[in-house]
Amino acid sequence: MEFFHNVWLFDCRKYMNFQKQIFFLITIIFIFQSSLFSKENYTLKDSIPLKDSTLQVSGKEVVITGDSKKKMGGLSSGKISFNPSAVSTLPSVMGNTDLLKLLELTPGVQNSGDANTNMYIRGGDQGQNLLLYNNVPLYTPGHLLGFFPLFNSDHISLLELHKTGINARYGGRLSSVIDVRTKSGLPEQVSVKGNVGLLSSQATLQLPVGEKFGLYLSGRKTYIELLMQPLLDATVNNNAKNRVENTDYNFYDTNITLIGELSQNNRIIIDAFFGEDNFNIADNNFLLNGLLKWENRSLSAQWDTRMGETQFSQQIYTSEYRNMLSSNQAEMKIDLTSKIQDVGYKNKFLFRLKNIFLETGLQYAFHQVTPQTYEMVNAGQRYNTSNPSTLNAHDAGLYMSSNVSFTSKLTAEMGLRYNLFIQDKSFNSINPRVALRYRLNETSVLRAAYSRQNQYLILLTPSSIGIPTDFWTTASKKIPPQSGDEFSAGYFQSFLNDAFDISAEIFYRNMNHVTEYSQNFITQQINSYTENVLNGTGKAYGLELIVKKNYDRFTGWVSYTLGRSEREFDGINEGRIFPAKFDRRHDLSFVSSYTLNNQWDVSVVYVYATGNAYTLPSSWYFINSAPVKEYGDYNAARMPNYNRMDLSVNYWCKKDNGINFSIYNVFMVNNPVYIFLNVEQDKETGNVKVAVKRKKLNTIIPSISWKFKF
Amino acid sequence: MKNLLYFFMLNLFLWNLLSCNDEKNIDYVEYIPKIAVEGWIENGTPAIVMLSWTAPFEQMMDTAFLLEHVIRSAKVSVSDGEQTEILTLGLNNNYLPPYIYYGTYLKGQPGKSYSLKIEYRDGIISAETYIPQPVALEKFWFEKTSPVDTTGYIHISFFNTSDLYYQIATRVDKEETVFTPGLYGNINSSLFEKNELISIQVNKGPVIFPKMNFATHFVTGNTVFLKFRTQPKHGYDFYTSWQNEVLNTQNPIFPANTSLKSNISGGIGIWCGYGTYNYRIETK
Repeated sequence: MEFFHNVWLFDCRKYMNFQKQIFFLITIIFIFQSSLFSKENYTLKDSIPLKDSTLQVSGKEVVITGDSKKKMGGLSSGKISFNPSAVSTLPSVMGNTDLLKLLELTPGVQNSGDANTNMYIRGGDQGQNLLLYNNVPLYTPGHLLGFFPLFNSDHISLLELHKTGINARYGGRLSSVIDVRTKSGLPEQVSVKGNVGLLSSQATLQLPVGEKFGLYLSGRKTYIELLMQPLLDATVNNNAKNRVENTDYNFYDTNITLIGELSQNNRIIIDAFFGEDNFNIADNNFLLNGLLKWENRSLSAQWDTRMGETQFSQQIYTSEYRNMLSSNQAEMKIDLTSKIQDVGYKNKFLFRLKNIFLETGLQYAFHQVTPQTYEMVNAGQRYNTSNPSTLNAHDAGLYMSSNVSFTSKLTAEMGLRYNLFIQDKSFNSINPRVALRYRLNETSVLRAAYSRQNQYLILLTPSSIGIPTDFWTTASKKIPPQSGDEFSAGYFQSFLNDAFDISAEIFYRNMNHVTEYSQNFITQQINSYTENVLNGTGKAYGLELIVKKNYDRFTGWVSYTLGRSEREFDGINEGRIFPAKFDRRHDLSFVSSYTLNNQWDVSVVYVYATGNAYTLPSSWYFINSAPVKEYGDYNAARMPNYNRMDLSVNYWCKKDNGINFSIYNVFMVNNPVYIFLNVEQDKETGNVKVAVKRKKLNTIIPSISWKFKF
Repeated sequence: MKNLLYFFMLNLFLWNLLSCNDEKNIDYVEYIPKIAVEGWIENGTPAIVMLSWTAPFEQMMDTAFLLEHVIRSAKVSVSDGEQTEILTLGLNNNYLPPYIYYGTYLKGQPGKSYSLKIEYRDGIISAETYIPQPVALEKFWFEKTSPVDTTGYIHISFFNTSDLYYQIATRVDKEETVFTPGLYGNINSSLFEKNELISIQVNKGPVIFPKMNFATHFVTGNTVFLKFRTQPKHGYDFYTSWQNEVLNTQNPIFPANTSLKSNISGGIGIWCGYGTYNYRIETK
């Protein structure tokens, strides 16, 4: 209630006049959309079914995104899509297929390494990807350290990555859009699908409710806390001096999707997603005892209706992400919490004017963001330095996109998006988007795209690894909004009757007001996190290649990206250009699957990538009789090249029932999560020596799980 | 069958490629030697300055190697604007590095500014600081953690009369050779009401030399020397970053990966003035 109360107060007190204009505009647009919808001028020879909420219109061709036997689709249009059922045979940690991690095996998506849940796409930062779960934005991409996928793959029907020529319906992020869709058709019969593993189990219930309704209910729970300490002892604690003890981790998540096919032309989808992670850690070396907790919640209601070939879709939603770190370091207790909560409305209207397919839509979200509440208690003295407290922001977008066929060979997807963002200052922007496709012949396509993006929600990252202590804030007077332009051009060729696909693409992206964040927690003076935010510019460019084999017993792909991602900040390295943390010169992935017979299949994944950039000390000296380090240029050092091989074997007793045996990192390659140089003093001799320390998480992780469907 | 052959051949090729690549080397950053300065001046005492070259990361440092990096031939002078004193070098094994430039007659006075000038190998290194008015403690006492325990904490109280920053530094007699800022012992006066009576617990700071000790408590039966200091902002910034470096260098959640915040022009380190009251506490 407080949230809605704040929405109302914020509107009324500060922006009454402006709000009136906005709401007036929204009403006009809504009436315009409705009037178009009421016309019956548009007919469709072959009715478009409502089964799938994604309708891609490409010239005269209408493509319904749906089930496919291809593991990966969408290459000809520059998109990448995964069908969970088709990729379920690929290797997975703990037996759970991680669709988001699979994206890292595709061109343009940097491998994030071990212990990292973040996504880095085409040289962008982790906060520059829009993750949509049934059109609802989610603000964290994973469970702890990447061990478990964020989504229960049995509940998902499709995952799509848009990184080039992004449709105008998407806005608010510079890098990419990851669009995840749950099941959208009515279940035909009662069934239970899932898997039981050593560390976690999951199940999905499909339940028809009458003739017009259907329910999908998924739940997942880990019991990793039983094995966490032995696992750490075998990995992180291999050096007895740096033991991590008293560690406890657990999470659960639940997905609920209710579908109602009210009539042939009307459908409602009510969807909910709840997830919570708890992680306790104690490290006696650094007097550190911490509890890390984070939660994702989303709830949405969507109504799709259709008249002829005209479709109208509306959705209201709320989404919330919060994280909390409670840390006791020595006698100091630090509580850090952050939260972002959205209430939003979206609509989408698809229609045709003569030969032009058009889509227009209106999107509005009210963000309530608490970037970082910092409370410190030292020996009974409490310092509450939460400043600023909660930020309220209005975020509106209005767009129109169209698919035009200029000739039988040349088609274009063009769009225009208007963004309006109001926090302590109003920002607005216009984003043109265009994606051209030229069909050379039946099997090859040339494509080129340009898009401009603006980003008003900004992720600040104090951690060096993918631990969810990152927090969101809004563009404001102190933190300018980010903007970027991207250009790309590519070639797609299919040959041997669609058995093989080849795609090559070059891209260039510039980014303005990208951020770096550095925070010292040994101080009571954290009056404002904004003081720790540095702003600069960035650019990324590269070449992406993929060769894919689609059918037969042997399927898979080889993906290679040659890329660079650079940053330039006045306050870093004296203004010189430096590499972004996830700048990868080379990123190679190889995915292969072989089906021996109806019972046995085997899959192998290889990953090879240039190491992350990081900051390493260049020398050291004494202060207060303690050795301290003088650091070199920011991100001037490189982690060792990352490589890994995963193996998976499935034995199917019958369809959807079998046993999966996976091995993550078969060769036990020591891919460090981070490296540091430690200066130590020998207690006996007094000699000081420098020790290279590598913290790694995963050496080899075998897992076995039983997959079932009743 | 042909597919199976392709599958195995490709995987065998990559298997070999990967299995050869397990050895990994650290990508060192180029060593650029810098002159590190640690210097201070307190009210009522002359200046103390230590100079050394920063050391590369490639080799173990023994005593001989350490001495190679100490700068013993610099001309170090301190001035209050009216008088200038050239400091003289002396050996002091209580400190690392063990050579110290001492002042003798130019003693610190609250409210005055002091400039440091180091002339070495045709180069000049300089820094400015000032000594704030010291603030006296109202009260201090030792409190055991529990009646049957041998550990406890020192508590202090004082009126917040300074507009600047406080620092609490302690040295346990016969165990420690230098004063170490207490853990979270750098305090910003602006976080408290003006003239408010502040009572806080003193946490012992991380000690590396001569014996590593990260314990924050004191032990009964010790004599603890305590300096309650006022310091300018550059001292506060430097010592908070120093503690962050010492404590969080291996912390992946909040990593320390930036150099200490220095106020030295032409070098790195700190030149700081303190307004100090000294106390002796028996932890009985």
